[in-house]
Amino acid sequence: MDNQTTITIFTHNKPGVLYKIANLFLRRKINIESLTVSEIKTQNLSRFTIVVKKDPVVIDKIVKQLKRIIEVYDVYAHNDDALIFKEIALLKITVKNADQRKQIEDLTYQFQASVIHSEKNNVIIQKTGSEEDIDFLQSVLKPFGIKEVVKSGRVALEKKGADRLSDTEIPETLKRASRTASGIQISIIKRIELMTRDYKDVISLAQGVPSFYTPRHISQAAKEAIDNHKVDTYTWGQGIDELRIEIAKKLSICNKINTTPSEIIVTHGGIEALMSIFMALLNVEDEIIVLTPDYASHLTQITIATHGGKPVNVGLLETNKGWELDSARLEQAITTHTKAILICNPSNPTGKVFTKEELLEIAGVSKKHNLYIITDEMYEDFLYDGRTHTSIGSFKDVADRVISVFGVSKSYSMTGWRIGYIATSQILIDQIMKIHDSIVTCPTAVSQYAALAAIKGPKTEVKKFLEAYTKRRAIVMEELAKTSLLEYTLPQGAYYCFPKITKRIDDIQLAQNLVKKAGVAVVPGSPFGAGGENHIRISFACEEDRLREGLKRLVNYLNKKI
Amino acid sequence: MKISGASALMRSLVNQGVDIIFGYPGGAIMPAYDALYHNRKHIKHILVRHEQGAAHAAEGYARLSGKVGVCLATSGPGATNLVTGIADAMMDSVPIVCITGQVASHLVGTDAFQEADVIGITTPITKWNCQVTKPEEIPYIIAKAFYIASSGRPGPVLIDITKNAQTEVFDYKPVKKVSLDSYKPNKHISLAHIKKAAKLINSAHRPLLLVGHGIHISHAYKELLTFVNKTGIPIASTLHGLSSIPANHKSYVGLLGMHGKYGANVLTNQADVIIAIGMRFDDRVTGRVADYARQAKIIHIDIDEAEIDKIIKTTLSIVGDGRQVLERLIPFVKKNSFDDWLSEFRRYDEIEYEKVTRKELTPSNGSILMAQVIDILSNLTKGKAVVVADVGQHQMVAARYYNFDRENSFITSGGLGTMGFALPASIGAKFGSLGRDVIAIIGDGSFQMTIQELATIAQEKLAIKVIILNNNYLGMVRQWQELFFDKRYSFVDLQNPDFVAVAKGFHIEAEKVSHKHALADGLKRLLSKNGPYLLEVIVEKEENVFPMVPSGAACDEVVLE
Repeated sequence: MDNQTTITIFTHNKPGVLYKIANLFLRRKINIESLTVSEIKTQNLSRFTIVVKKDPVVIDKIVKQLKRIIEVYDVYAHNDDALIFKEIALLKITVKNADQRKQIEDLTYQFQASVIHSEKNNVIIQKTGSEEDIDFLQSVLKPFGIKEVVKSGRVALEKKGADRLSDTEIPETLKRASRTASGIQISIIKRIELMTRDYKDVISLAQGVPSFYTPRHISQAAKEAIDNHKVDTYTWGQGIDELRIEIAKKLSICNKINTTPSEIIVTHGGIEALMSIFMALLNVEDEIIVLTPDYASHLTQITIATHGGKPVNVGLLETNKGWELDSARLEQAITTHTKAILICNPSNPTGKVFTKEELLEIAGVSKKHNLYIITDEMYEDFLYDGRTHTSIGSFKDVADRVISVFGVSKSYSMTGWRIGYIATSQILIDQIMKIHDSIVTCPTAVSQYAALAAIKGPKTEVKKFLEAYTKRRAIVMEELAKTSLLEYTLPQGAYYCFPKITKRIDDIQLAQNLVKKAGVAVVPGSPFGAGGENHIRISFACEEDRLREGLKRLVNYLNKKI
Repeated sequence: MKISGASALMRSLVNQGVDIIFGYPGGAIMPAYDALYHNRKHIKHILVRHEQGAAHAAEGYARLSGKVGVCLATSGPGATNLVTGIADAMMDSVPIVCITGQVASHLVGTDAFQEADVIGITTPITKWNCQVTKPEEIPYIIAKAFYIASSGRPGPVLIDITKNAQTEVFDYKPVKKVSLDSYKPNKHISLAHIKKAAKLINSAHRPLLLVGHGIHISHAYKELLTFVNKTGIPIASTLHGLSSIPANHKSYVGLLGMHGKYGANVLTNQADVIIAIGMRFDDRVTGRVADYARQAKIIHIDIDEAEIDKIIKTTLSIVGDGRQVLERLIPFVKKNSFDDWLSEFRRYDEIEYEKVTRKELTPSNGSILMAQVIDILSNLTKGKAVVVADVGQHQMVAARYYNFDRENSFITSGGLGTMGFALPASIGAKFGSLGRDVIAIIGDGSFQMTIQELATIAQEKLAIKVIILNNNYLGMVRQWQELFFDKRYSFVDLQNPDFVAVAKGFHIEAEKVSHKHALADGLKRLLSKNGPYLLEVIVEKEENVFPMVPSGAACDEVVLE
């Protein structure tokens, strides 16, 4: 296919110029993909932005011919890489009931679009973005019934310093990255972390990194493994036998999951575990339901695995008791394309712990609609107020459809070691294994020995961590009480608090301002999917004094500036 | 002082140095004609018999005089009749300004009587066009029209003036010069490029110079001669480049293209450096583009940037006026001669003479061949006449056999290939030629397309010499049908009127020549007359023009018989 070129033409603002320009394209039978014209009032000029698909040699010729038109001042042709470009689309969507309205609003929100008009039977959504962005949104909204779409056509500005095709040789530009990769933005958490580095003395309550060292007996075991040359070669891709035996034991005792070592894959952390699962399970057209707010990386991973598809967000209900599952909503979101439900339990970012009843409901729905259940149980050891963790994989009648993901990162303060594990039926393990093998070959050997020591060893340290987090949770409650601008419920698990800002505010902007102006980093809620907007995530994994100081800065800023 | 738009139009034209207009009156342009009546001492008006004739006459005038040709027509059919002439001027880069009347501005767009969207119609075939609806715009727009038509790469401009803009009065202030910020025709010629070009030229072993219409437009005759004399580079010409340099110049190797010289075409594909000045690599010149001069480094000199790399990828290009570029180039090129290389052209000339020319000049039977007519004419006029050729076989033969000795002496429709061009164009050429002999060479088919302009010639008593080369065929189409359509002559034979009687009916002296021995005398009589004269020459019916590069062939795939 010919490359897409954007031609920018500056002309006198006079009648007939469009005709002269269009005529040149007509003579060469070049289809105009989009054309926008705007006025530059101060100079009485017009700016044409024309998108065409034609090879660069023809473009070069037409640029020269355009320059020949007396009314034309100058002409530039650019590849997409050299431009910032956008268009605006207005979409009129059918709304049948309140649930649909909420779903559309959630999607709209997720796609950074906005509902600009609402009527009984339809809503009008405005979306600004690239042609691809708009196509994505359109395809996602299609099931609701799109009554009408209008697009503005592209407007584009040259990025600074880009070469102009018109006066240089046509550059051999590199091909663009995949649509999937191009469509993904660097995660907000990373961006906030990056920003944090640029400002002095910022206390980070953003990334969920435990403040503790890895327990000594664990690192000691790793050292021994190194010294005994146990880690010099690849291990079996699924993970070393001893470790999987210990994991199987742990799963059956602690999680009541009935499994064997061959039904376990040791992975490069929870992230790799989930990526391998998604890739093993999902086709482009498949849908996966995510109960949101949910860990932003899950959402991105699903997009990657479906080549640009979007997870179906089912928002949890935010009540004064915490976040609750609305199983009716869950069921409504299921379509013929739905393949799985993802639950993060205990939840990052909300700190929610799913009750047994809720898990039973999810299990019921999955059975009824023949869906997989994928879990992320990274925070299984950190539950507060006497709660105990229930793994949905322990439910006998759905055990064959549950894919459970655990890890040592959080429980043993081992985030840097990168060890997680998957437990599921043998049939699925065999499939996931193919992906896992292609991504990592095997998990890092030394980390496996560390993990072995962790899982085999005593849980005394884990209990200490929990005590510390419990104390820190209390500090969060104490400090946050000093502002009326945050509304929150007591975290039930994990080490995050996810308060709602009582004023309508751009949470991403707020998070940036907090770094710049208050010296404290938190994560904005929007990237966690529907329901996350207008929230911030506070991690209380860091030391008490830093936590307290960070919270003070946050509260101060909120009280004074918001 | 308040004057009407029409008066302002005439004053503006006089300001631009206009002293002749070719036109045809009608409803919407009547106020302008009324003003013209009052200005008849300053501006001569030539009443053509069809507006197409006015446009071609303006072209002929512009090409001979170097000034802008002006034509005047009414709205609707008057304007649409100009279209062929405007397109012709566009293709051949001829500066003309066409002024058309338009219905009153409140009627524009209402399908009023004799209304046509002439701006819409002529946009693709004008360098610029503009509708004027208020009288006060006229002085500026007319100045702008002349500036655009004549500067840079010249071309036709059309100004459409509504009737009310002609009749309404306003405070006239003359506008002599305009400058436009979106149009900068004077290109800066980069010295670095000149030096690079000179280096390439100086290192060439088999260089070839190709010249086109740009030499005439930029009046680069003196510079071209200096350049050719200094470098010794063989020079070939496009159809419009003919008469850039005397045909007997030792470095001149003749016409390029479909019916060009054998050597010039074949050796184009053996040259190592090609220097193209003021030509646009038209398909009639290049033949199959993929096989055109692939071995050569190509230096393209043209004032129109859009021509660079349009057809042929160049090694080096210089955007600028031909004369100015040559002027700057001359000091950097070394004195040289290419006798061996030139002798290769001459060897091909010999073959061509044997296979084509000799037969065409001395046919075995008694009939007259077109080549003989042109050859005798060339000798009788010593190559100093202005030849205006129409379109077809006779055009190619005129281009091949007339040995142009004087500059800017060949006027024809090259780009658009407009049959009917020559007769009206010769009218304009005669007015622009400052007393030179103007000879129109026209085929029997072409002649009948604008035959009514004989009346204009008679009315103006113009000493135009018209030669009709009559083979009772649309000869070029017939030739193609013979060669490429298995001789299926599909609607090409013409049952012609008695051209001599027709001419006499128009009060023009005329005679017919049918025999070889009467030809020279007939031509002498034609040339000796002080007034218009028409000589009909009956030529061989089924004559083919050779050499020929068939359509779709490479330029060195020349067919000689």
